Amino acid sequence: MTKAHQLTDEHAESPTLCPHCALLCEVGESVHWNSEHCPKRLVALDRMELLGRRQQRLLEEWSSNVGLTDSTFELKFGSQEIARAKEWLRGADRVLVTGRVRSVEVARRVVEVTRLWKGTLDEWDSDASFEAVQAVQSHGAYTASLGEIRDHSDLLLIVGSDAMLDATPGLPWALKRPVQGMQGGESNPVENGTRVLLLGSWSQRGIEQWQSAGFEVLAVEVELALLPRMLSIATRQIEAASRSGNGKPSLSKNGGEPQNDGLTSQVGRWLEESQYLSVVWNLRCTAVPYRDLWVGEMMQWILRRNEERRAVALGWNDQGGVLQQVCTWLTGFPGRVAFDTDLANYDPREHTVCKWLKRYRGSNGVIVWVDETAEDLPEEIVRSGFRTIAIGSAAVEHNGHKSMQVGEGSAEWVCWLPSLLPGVDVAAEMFRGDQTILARLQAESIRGRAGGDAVGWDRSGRVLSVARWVGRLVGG
Amino acid sequence: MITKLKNVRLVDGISTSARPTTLWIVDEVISRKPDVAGRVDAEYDLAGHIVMAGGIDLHTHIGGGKVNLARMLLAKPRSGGAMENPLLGPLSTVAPLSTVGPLSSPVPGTWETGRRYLQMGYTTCIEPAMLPANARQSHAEMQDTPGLDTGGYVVLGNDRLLLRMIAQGASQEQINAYVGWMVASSSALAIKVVNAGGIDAFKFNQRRLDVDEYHPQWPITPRDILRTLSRAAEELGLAHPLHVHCSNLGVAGNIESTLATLDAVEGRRIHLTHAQFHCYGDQGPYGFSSAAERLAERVNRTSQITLDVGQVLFGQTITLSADTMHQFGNRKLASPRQGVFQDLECQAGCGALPFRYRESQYVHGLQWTIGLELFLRVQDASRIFLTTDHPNGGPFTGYPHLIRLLMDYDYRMSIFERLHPEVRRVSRLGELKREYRLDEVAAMTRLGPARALGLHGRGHLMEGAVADLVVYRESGNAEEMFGEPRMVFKRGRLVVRDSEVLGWIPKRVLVAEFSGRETLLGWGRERGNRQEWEQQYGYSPGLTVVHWDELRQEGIEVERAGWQD
Repeated sequence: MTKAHQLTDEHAESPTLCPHCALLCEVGESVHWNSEHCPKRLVALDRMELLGRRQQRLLEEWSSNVGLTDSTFELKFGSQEIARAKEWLRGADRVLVTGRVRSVEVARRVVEVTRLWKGTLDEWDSDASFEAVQAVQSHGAYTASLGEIRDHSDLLLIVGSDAMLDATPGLPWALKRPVQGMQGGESNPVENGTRVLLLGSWSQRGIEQWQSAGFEVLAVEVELALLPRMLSIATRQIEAASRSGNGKPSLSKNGGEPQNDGLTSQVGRWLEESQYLSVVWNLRCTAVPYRDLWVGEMMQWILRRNEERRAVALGWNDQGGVLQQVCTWLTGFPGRVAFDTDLANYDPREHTVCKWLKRYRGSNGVIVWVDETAEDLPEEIVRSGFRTIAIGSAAVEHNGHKSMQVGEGSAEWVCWLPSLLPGVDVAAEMFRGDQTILARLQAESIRGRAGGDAVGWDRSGRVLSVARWVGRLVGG
Repeated sequence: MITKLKNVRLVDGISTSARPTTLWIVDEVISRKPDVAGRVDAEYDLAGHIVMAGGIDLHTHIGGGKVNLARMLLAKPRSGGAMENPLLGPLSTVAPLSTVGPLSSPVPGTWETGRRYLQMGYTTCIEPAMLPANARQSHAEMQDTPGLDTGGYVVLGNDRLLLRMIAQGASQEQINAYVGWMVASSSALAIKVVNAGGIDAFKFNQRRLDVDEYHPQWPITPRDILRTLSRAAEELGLAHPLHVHCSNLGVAGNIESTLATLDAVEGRRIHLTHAQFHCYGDQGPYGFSSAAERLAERVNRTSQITLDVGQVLFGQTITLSADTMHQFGNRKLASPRQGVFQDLECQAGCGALPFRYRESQYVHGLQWTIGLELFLRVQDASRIFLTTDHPNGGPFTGYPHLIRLLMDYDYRMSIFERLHPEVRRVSRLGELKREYRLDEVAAMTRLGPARALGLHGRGHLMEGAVADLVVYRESGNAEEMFGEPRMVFKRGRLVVRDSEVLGWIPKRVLVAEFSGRETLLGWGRERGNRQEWEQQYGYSPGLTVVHWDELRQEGIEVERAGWQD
């Protein structure tokens, strides 16, 4: 038995989907990706350690100040803070609900809170996902899940830059097909040896990361805005070469006529030989103007290729998208809705955080900020001047006045409901980054792994889940 | 709590009581002669009304990845206006609880779906296509569909692990263990197969796979898959037989592969789903004709077959299917927008295509007649179930209209007369004078589906049955009558009155009960199986297991469905 399988066995009863980048890190283990050393995960763990200690201190201070025991803390603290939050909400002319949602439980409650308080709902930094929706609505799409691509694809077109690896360090290993022959040799229908074509702007370090996952890699620096056109030209040339029975298809670097150097010829050959081609991008990390049009053109190329052979896209959506999915199934709309009486009005251009902040500046509005990450409260929210009910670990950071300068009198406009991370401190249901697998993540003992002080952590973690705080804005 | 419904006629799917009588509800169940000792909490005089069991839709796409994909595809701001369908309203709003107006979309959100089904008197709905990798999401969406008890069929037959097992000659016992684990781990009610092997074949660029054609990668045919899975369903003791979406969806002449599919299960029980889309001939002016008579004849002489129809209704909708092979083949027919397709997790796929059925279009018109022919030619109404394959043939809110089509010959013909002239020339619908009776409507929407699913406490009005009840005003217009029930009771509680939803009660999820269920849940923990699974799918099998405890934590009750002792 290999080390990889020893690891898999050990974790089989508690599979983990990494809450920091939405990858199934156990997959990484089976292909020699050790998520314990994932840089993004380590940074997050460090941050959580810090936040945890502050949270613990905060809890102790609050408890001692009001003379509460642990068992009565939640009730009393909750009563005070929730009462204040509800008072704000009742007195508000309008409500904006936004933040960074990562779990299904919280997403459900966020939509419910918005409906109850007749607010506007738009997830923070949601432009990329709405541009993707718009592209699909206009042009159609052929996509595949990560598992399908890993098993079946013979050529991966990775479109973007090193930023993709910063967002999801384990992606190359997650896309790598497991080693053959462990259970009978003929199990996998495609010969091993998936090729990777890196398109965009990749550093040597980035290229090496893909190579270290065992892929045969070619990197071509191209201007991404021109990529759809370049692929179309290459395809036409492949088809022409195929008809004439000669010629070497190639990929132009600039979107014009193909160049006949060795590299681009090799790219053309790879495109020609591929039977199941997958194009992978992360729109948040893809610097192109008019992302919706770009996605649309890429999708059109993929759909056309499917006329003769197989091709798919994987728009990797690290941790975002959970609220979009949940809001869609609850209301029929992917967010950017405003509730008016019992009606949900959908308008992806109007019901945005940005427009709400501008349009209602100076009014008696309240922002409900729900955050399931360890990130800071965005400056745009802090400086907006609106009363803000902040639910999440970021609020603890602010209460410590460590990373951001909160103005004088902030207590009058910020109501903090501190809480911990789903999948880290509290159990949660989360999607994988491609929105295919919804996994139920048990809270993992991150502090134990990182060697931190775990005293009282589980207890407070249960008490202060984001879902419960948000739920209490709805109910009792 | 004791509720008395007096002066009401009972329609239970077997007969209709000629004279008004009294029906009692004691707590959550029906009682014919309770010992009430003078204590009655609520009493309703329902002269001029009938009561039926709550409706059961055993094939309706209400939860899961492809449904949500379709919702997203059709999400549109208010300025876009309504789509061309009298059943659909402006797309940007969700109607309030008391409204029975048009749906906001052919695939509305869960809040609206639950409310509208309940307002029509449907109390149990089954999602027919849960991917194993997506089962938790399907359940999550169904949990969020208020008012309805729900369940799902797990999609097998294109999962690469199963195909490989069959190709490598795994024993039926091994297959059964795998299938049993799939059903148990996804908390499913039954097994569905979609275009057996065809979805996977399309991933290898094969564009067609007939019942006896070989898969491009493995030396197996759809017939092998169908035989193996139907045998597994039988040997595991699942109440609902293999739920089959045949090969060649929507293809002219597909009646041959449909009949071959019936042969493939070698006499075992089988459920043919959205049969209307699978009984086409290739004759006639456009090489497209009805084969409803052939299929109905086969059903009428074979008691092992049940079917739901998948009736087409005219107007805008969206087609959803795991059958990417045929959905992609139909992509140029999409209207008004582009379609979306996915290859998923080495288990299946999905395609969503907006679609508009037009009266003036030959094929659409003939599809409409073919569905109705099936309803009218199959003699036993308890073996043919009313569905539109929501939203594929049309949204579920078209059911009252469809019931009127079946109960009223003149009304049926009034629409038939509007169809393409060639449809009127070639179709034999006009010869079918049958009009459904109320008890037949109850049989095809309540009793029959309940029996087919093993839901013994539902679908009828017998002593001890679950008090999911619907009260309708008797009317000569079936569409009005079935569109707006007077009252709906859910487990004994009045939840809808004159179309207004009064409240919700805790939901139930319906799961298959079969022998060895608990043991088979251990399949995924066995080292060899786990390694095979991880090798193929890339994650440990435990990751996607939907435990009953987690459903209960959400306030969902788990109800087991199975053979009655």
